[in-house]
Amino acid sequence: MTEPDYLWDRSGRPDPEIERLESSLAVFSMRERPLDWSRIREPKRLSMRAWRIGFAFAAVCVVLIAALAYSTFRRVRSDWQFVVAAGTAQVDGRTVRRGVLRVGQSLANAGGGSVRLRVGNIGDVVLTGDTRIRLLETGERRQRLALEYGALHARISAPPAVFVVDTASARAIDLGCEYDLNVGRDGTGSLRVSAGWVQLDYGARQTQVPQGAEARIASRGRITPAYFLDAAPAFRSALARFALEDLSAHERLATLRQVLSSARQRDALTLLNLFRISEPDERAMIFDRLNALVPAPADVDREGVIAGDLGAAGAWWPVVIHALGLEQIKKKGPLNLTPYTGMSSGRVDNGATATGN
Amino acid sequence: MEVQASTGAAAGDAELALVRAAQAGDTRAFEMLYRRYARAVHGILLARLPAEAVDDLAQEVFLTVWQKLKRLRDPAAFPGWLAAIARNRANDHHRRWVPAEQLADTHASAETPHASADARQALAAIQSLPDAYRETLTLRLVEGLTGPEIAARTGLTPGSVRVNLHRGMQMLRESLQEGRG
Repeated sequence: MTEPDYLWDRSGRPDPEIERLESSLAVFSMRERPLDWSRIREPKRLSMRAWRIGFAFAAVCVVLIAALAYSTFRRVRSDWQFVVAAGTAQVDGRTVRRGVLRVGQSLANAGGGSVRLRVGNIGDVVLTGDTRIRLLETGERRQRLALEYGALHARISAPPAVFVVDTASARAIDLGCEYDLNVGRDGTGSLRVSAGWVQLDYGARQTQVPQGAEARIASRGRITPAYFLDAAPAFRSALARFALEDLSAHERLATLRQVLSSARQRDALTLLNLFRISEPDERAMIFDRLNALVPAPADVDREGVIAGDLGAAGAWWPVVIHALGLEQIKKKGPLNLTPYTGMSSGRVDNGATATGN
Repeated sequence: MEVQASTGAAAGDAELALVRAAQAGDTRAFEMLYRRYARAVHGILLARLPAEAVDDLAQEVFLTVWQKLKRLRDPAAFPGWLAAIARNRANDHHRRWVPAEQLADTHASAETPHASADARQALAAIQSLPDAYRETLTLRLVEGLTGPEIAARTGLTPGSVRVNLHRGMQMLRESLQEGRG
């Protein structure tokens, strides 16, 4: 049982001071009054103008956030991240294991090792052996490097001509493919395509190389027409002599006859490319042999082709492509590239600087 | 301040039913809660604010409670929840409050209680005490609630209220004695 406690529950004898305080302070106690419901504030309803302003503001915010995210995405994806998988590598002379290659920087791989580079968000490049590259351009529309010497394997999934490799003697333009490219310190080399197509060009010379085919590169922008790897050795060696070497007229005709005599139907694509690098009398021989392997459609003008009108053989291309079963290897659009004139005196076209060896 | 461990003890079954009915939108049930708790809210505000401002603020507290009542998950916690809203409202008002001297000409309200000088001095002395003491003493001496009622209306334990009352009263006596001396 608890003691009486006036302060606690008014039990027991009242405390005079507490009573006095209760009496005087009562004037401040709550005066009875009903709850005033009229003071409840209804939530404000937004006017149509306020809705419009709010919507416009939200839309602007969304656009700004999207633009910021996109620019960040592009910036990140334009980077060329690399990792040294084996051996040693140097960026601008500094030994590295991994990192990001910036435009203007060169990466040298040595000692039989390999370096894997991530090309933005469109694919990978693997450098092997004694190789040196310089990054020339990164961006959504163009990823470009200079292969100064050595070998690379590229696997790219992008629209045509986004990925470009410049070499001293030719330019390889990706048409959505996988390929190996190697060049020596003297500028000679080869391009071998394992998937899709690659265009190899130098000035007015060019050839498009389908999967399973190869093209050889010599100095001063000389390139062979694409030829399939299963072509006869005699065909391949004669083709290389005809396309790359300085021969007399007599030697050229003899070599061309060797090319044509050893050509199969599957080599029709090579013969079609030969029109670009031959003389009129040579073109007559090529025309007749090609016509025997894959007959020209009616709208191909023989005289025009022999005269050097490249457009005159235009209708023959799809027929040859179809005859060789290459139409399933799609090429996907225009290249939008100016003619390539190679690297010289430490510079490449488009004004980008490249170092000498 | 120690809050009752068992909220069920803070609100009886009948009161829980009132809270639930009010949560369901029953205005009559809420008015019954208002009548039951109005003095407690008034006292909590008066312990912190000028007397002139308290009546209106007490109304605002209940209207705020009405609008937020559906968010109260445990109806048994209603007393402590209500007291907390009242304290927060008093603190908000305190932050916005303009000193009385700046309102001398405009704030002389008819609502101002006609209190004696002794009463004002006593209230001022209570308001100068630490939080725990001034609130319980205001509820006891001004609003006329007993200790058990204070515990039930504020969610505090009876033990805490008892201690606060006695310690607070001791401090108030000393303060008033100093004022007289």
